[in-house]
Amino acid sequence: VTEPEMSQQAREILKRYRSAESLGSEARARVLTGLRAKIATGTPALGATKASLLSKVASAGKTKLILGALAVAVPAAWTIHRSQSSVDYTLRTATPEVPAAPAVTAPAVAAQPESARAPKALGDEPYRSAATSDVDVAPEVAASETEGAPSEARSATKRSAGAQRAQGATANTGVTPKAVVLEESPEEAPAPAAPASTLDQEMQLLKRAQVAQASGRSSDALSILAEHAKQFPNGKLAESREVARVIALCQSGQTQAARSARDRFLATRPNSPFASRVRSVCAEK
Amino acid sequence: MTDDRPGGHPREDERMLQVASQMPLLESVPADAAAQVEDIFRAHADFVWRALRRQGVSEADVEDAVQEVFLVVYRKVGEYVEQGSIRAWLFTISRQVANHYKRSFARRERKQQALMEEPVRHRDQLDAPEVAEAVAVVNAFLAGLGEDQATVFHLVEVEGLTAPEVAASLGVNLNTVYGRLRLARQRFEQMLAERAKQEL
Repeated sequence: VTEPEMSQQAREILKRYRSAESLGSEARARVLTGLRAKIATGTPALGATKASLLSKVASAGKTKLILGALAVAVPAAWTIHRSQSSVDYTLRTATPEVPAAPAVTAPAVAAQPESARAPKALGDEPYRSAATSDVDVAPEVAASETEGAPSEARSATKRSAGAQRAQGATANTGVTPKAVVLEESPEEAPAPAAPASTLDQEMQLLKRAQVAQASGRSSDALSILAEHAKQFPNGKLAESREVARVIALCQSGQTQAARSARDRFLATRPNSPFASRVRSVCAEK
Repeated sequence: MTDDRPGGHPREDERMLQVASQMPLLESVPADAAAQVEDIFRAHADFVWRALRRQGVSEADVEDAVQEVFLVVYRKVGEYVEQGSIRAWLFTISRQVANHYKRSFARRERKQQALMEEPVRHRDQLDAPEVAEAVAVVNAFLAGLGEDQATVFHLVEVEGLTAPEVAASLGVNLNTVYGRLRLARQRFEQMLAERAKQEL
């Protein structure tokens, strides 16, 4: 398709616009530094976002409330703002990007089983669609665990503790994951439709180990981790595997083995972001 | 006796262990995810910045929001499917983060405060007049355009995405993208022509 090109003048203006509308180099450095710090300290990415999104999924009523209040807040903020961007804000609030939302979520969740369900959830409430796409990791775990033992449900609760806190009430009741599951239910089996990449396969193994570990089945976790070590000795997630192994060993009561695995880990990966955590595992008194 | 037990009584240790045991796999991202994220950041930070601004994130919030986008990238880089366009993927994430920012109460309040104060300038250089004008013109144009057309126009004409990439990212038909693009281009040219007339 040969679309009519834009005029020279139009292209020039757009080029200028693009060069000016960017992160300055100082801001760039600031963001990168902050990013590194957060990654290194293991600050849960998405902590806040996920928390509020999760709570939104769980209670649609709340969403409306927030939006209602926003309708008041936005114009207020905007009157102070400079002229052009102000128009921007109003427009956007008036039409909250409904049409594009459904499919936009698709690429992000493409590798996941839930994607088939996405359009259904979108029908009733556009805002939720944005939420569901972003919450994909946590609820997935919640979904697979609720059907298991109550202890698993509890661990799911713990994992999304941030979310529950934001929600206020119901935090420790093991019932809460259900609220999430309502949205996320259909599949439990972690079997993506897309051909799994090696990384996906690795991820799945580690996820299984995680579930086993979280429900107190350390020896299961260890054998899954051993499986991972066999299949992907130098996999991309080898480091995470070793961390998990040290902890699982310790939890299963194999203190000696845990300590030597720990020391080996620290010796070979002194700069690992997990180093400090690993160091505390099965610490000598 | 208690001196050589930094953690206090053993129960404390047990609890720590329990907590620790739940965490590492939560962060089970590829070992080189941090490096990947930095590469992506270097290549696309500006793109994300603009996407967030276009989605209505204020100048006061946009740095935080950029960081948040790349934290999501860090988390999900293992899930990213290679065949797609990375920018389309980033755009999707940016949109979600922007939505979050627009709805967040605390941030909203903080933003209001920030707006009362000196507006934050992130750019290094003072924009030359013709650049400042270009910014004003394009922002005004995009603001006056319907959201659908504005998004397509921005992604194609400003960011240089291909129409198929945009179609995939927005989940709309390719012809729809071309249609919106054509209309937006026409309008842009019209607006420029009118401006030129006024200046004479």
